Amino acid sequence: MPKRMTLLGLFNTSGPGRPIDYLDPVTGAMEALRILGLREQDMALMMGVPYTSKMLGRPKIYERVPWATIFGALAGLSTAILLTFFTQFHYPIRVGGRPYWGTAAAWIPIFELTMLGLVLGTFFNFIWKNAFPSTQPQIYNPNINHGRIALTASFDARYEDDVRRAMLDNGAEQVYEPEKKPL
Amino acid sequence: MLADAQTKFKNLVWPHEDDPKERLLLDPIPQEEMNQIMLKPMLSASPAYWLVVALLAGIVGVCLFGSWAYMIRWGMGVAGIRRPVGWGVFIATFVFWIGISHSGTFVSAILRVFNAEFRRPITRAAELMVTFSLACGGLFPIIHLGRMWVVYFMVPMPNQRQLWPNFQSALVWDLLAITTYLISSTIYVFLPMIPDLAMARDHTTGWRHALYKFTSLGWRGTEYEFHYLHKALNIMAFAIIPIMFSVHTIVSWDFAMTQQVGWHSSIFGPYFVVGAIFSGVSAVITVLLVVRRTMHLEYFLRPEHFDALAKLVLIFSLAWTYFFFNDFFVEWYGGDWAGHKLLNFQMHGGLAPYWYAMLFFNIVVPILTLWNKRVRNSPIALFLITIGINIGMYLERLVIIPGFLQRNRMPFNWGEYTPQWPEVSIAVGTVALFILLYLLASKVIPLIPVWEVLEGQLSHSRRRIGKTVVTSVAELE
Amino acid sequence: MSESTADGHRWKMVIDLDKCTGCQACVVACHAENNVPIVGGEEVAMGRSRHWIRIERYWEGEYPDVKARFLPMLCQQCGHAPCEPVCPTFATYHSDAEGLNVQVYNRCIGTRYCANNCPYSARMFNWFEPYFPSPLEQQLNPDVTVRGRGVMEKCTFCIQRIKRAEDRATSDGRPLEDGDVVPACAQSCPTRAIHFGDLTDPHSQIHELIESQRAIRLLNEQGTDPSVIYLKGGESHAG
Repeated sequence: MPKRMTLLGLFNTSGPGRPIDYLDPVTGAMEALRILGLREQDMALMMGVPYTSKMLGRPKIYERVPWATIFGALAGLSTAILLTFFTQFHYPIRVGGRPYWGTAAAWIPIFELTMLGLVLGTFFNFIWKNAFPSTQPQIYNPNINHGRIALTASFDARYEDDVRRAMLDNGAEQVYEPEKKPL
Repeated sequence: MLADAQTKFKNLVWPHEDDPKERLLLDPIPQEEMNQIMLKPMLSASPAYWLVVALLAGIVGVCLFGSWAYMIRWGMGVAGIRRPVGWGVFIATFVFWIGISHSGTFVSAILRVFNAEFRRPITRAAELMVTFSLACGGLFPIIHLGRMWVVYFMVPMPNQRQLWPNFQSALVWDLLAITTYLISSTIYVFLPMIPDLAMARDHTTGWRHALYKFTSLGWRGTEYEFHYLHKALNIMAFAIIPIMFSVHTIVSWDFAMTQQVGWHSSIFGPYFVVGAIFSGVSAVITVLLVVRRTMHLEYFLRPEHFDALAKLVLIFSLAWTYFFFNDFFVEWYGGDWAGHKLLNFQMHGGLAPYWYAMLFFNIVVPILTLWNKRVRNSPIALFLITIGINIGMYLERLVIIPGFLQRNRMPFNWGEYTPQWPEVSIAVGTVALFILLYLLASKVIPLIPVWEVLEGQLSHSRRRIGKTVVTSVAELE
Repeated sequence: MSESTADGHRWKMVIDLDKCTGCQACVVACHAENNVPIVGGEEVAMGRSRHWIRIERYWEGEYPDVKARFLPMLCQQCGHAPCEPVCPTFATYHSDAEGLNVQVYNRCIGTRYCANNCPYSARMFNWFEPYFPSPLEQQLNPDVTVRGRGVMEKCTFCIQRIKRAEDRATSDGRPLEDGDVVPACAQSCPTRAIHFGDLTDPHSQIHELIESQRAIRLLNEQGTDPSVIYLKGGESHAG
């Protein structure tokens, strides 16, 4: 198995007269790397500004409706139905001359707990998909908050010089082999 | 003919170019400079700040917790509540705080859904208000209880008696709704905060670094992270809007679902929601004006933002007037004798000073002033007007809650309500608590979402159409 | 709904307003029977008087033709009680066996929502710890709880007397008879203005009184279905 290595290239997103939207260096570098044979999943970007995948020339990240959201909503719905109907089955208490199982009044807990489940499901989906919180040391460069964008490429170690040249020719400010450090 | 035209055009002026740099999203500066503008007031604190914090902590300790302890020791009787006024200043202040909590959700969720670009620098400061006002308001359902040490009876947990709370009671709905809203809005303020916390993590050391490292969850700004963040925010923004509407509707049903004269009105749901947004957006303006001045965030918070928010306040003042008039006019025209006695009480009786003051602050002042651009661009005027609006909205809750309870269908049981010192003290204490929490948070939580401002600046550009250059906004998603 | 379930009782009280002199004997008797404390002049001035049954006095007419009308007001034990659905902890609910609106002191957390929703203002709240100046603490009724502060209380139709009568009837091996249960207020009324009986008992005197032409129920248009019926005719109505 040939040894793989990673290089990180730091690109300035501010061009002449153009703050933060000068993406030609990094997109050019990615094109050059694609010509060298790197696949999309071998390249990763880190940025401080949310550029869209279209701007970066990357394939759209496609995702179906997050099942965690739906699952959360259903969990909330069942909790609400349990609370409003089961409790009166378990210990029926008559109030106000009303029936034990009044559906009109049940809508409110049903709505609230379904929405709570939906929100919690969305949140946990976000946490889970990103593998947060990550306490391991990670590859990172704080300069992404200083108007830079970082491109990491993972490839067969024999092509190190080609990759390095591809990045530098396209205007990388720095190219180095990153270490995993605690954030 | 020529002389005619010359007269007509004599008084016109060539339209001058608005300086594009006046607008935040057309005035980009290097990212690091933006970070520093936001971090600088967070990382340093002047002696005046600590003095104010100490003063507020003192007020909270004495006025809020001290009076509350006194009331727990001696009984609810030290408050001014009496038969038939079972709810007084405590519940009025509770509804007031829940109303203020609608501010942040309106600004961050509804404006996000409508792609209103002026929301970008103000979302976080507004959303923080939600959490703290819910914290302050959430104290009151415990404070006003006769036996607060058994408040857990309201929680559906298995117990020895196999008893459950009453899910048909509006107070239990309150519990569910406010809990849902608190959790949802905390998540909704936390999610977009993560990139800013990561930025703060990179710029700090020591305990701050450890705190931001923990709370930013390991954010690195990869494409996937931003993708999932946007996805979560889109779902949350759409989800939290019906939650927001439902919360204040349910709070209004505490009153509307009763038989009490004046309370039993089907318009209370939308009336209270509109009133809440009205009072909340005004509170956002008040808080932002103070934040802008004391934290030197003039780069981020421009006159355009306050102008837009003030226009919103004007719209909601008109909406509130519409709902108020619906409630009032319908009762006046076709109400029963008890309703008429109550209206008499509001217009000519003991409630009159509060009622007229409420109308003055909520209707007269905003409608007469906020249409004027100069007023909207004047910080002092906006500060006074929005404080006045919140005074007016507090008076509205006082009129509706203890005020209406003083009249009912059996005239022998009418009563006068006078708030006593523990009630006033606790209400003042919660205001101090809100300001204190906000002050403390402003030193730890980055108040401006810099990445959202950058995203906005990315999408704004200037392009030429004909003889002029106009601002153009790109659709990013 | 108050006439619905099978083998329970349906207690009704009939108060004859034409016989009521406003003497307040019922008020005093209720205090004695149900351990209702005295709250003191200051509290009463604030509107916190604590009487499970109170005499409401309304003035009618202009001087010199003024008349005082007396209305004994107590918990109406409504069939569709507005106070019951609003309690978050089920501290007040409708007892199917007795057809009464019962108050569970131990479960009450003191939100006072029920008091706000009662159109008759019949519910009382314990604002402070109850104080029985000596030697009043020696005449407390052992059958009735002494409520602590922070709980709601109201007239219970002397449920302790109902229960005692039921127990005695069971141990005697006979059904409950009319006249077995006499609440304190009915017992003490010098003009016999207050009558009490079980609607499910076909021999009860209550039936006749309820069907009287003078019978009214207060605020029944609110849909509360009260169990207290007032007989009001005034001078014009022969009865």
